[in-house]
Amino acid sequence: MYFQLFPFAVINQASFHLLPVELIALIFRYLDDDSLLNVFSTSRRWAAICRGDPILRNRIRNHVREIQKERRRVVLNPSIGVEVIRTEPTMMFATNNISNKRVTVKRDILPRNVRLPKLNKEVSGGPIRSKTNGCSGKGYYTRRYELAQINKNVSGGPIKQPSIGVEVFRTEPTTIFATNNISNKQVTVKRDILPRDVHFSKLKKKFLVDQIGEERIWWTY
Amino acid sequence: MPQIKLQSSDGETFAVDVEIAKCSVTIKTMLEDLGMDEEEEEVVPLPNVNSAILKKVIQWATYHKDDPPPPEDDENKEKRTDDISSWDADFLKVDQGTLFELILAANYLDIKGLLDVTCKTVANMIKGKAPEEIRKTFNIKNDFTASEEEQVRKENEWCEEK
Repeated sequence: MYFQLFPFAVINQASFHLLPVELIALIFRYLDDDSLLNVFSTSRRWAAICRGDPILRNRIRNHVREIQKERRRVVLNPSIGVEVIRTEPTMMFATNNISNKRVTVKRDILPRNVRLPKLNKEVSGGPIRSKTNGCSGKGYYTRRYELAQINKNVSGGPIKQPSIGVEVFRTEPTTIFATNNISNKQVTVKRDILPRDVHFSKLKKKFLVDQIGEERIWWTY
Repeated sequence: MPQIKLQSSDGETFAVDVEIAKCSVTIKTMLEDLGMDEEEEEVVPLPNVNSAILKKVIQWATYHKDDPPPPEDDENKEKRTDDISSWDADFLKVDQGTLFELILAANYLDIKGLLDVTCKTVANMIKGKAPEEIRKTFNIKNDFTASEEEQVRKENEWCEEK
């Protein structure tokens, strides 16, 4: 009886360890680039298999280059990395509470009754520039000013493009995300600045209506 | 229709139509090279395949006997894995051990279509999973040291190579 059961038991326990390296590499060739990177960080043996196969090695290398290129792009143009949802635009700003890097809020989310000329440069303590990247000619003011002024003037008009309301500066894109710590409103982070250890499949998908009444997909984790 | 006898590793013999057995390039080459006579009652031993797996392989080959030969594919291109036919998907609803044994058998018998569809099935089990989930699925131990894991996460070495 035992010997009849034995081969069956062996079959049930059989797994990847059974396969020769070439066959494992063959299976990995069916994977997309993101899954291939995950496989690469699963175990030593699998990492060695990925390195040992010329096609897999090339694909991983190219993919990592793409990721790094994308990260550089986000660092150079930070506003594309972050999206923020809020209902009260005047209360809103973004911070990076991991690295406490400087955060600025653009002019276009100032309350409607606060005019640009009324802003005081000394109070703000930050630079007012005539033109910044992605800001199309409008000046922006530092967060310090934003806080002082905006707490007084809570009356916001509609925001046309929520995602351009916030800029975040950071040096390490993988650890950055944005929060809204005044109102604790939900903040979402795009995939391209997710930390490596947060996998895309863990993100929750939500359909929300934004400020201008458009339904959009947001990812949160 | 002429038949051929295949013997599994555990001694069971299966009589199969020659046309179906020729799905396997290994058997096909052997028959052509040795010029086996149809009258001969020769048994072909398959020492790498047990009877349970051989039965599955014959079942697959019988269903797919009229398939056109699979096209040569470009190895550098990412392959599709979502084009598994519903019959194949049902056929491959087996435990992991059987699935891997089928891969081994398909490789040994050189049945490209079966190897293709089994590899795709395993790839689909990996896709979209984080490393920890992959380890759980396939019962793999994380043998990276902490510093190695950090190194892997940084993945810098990939871009330093030429």
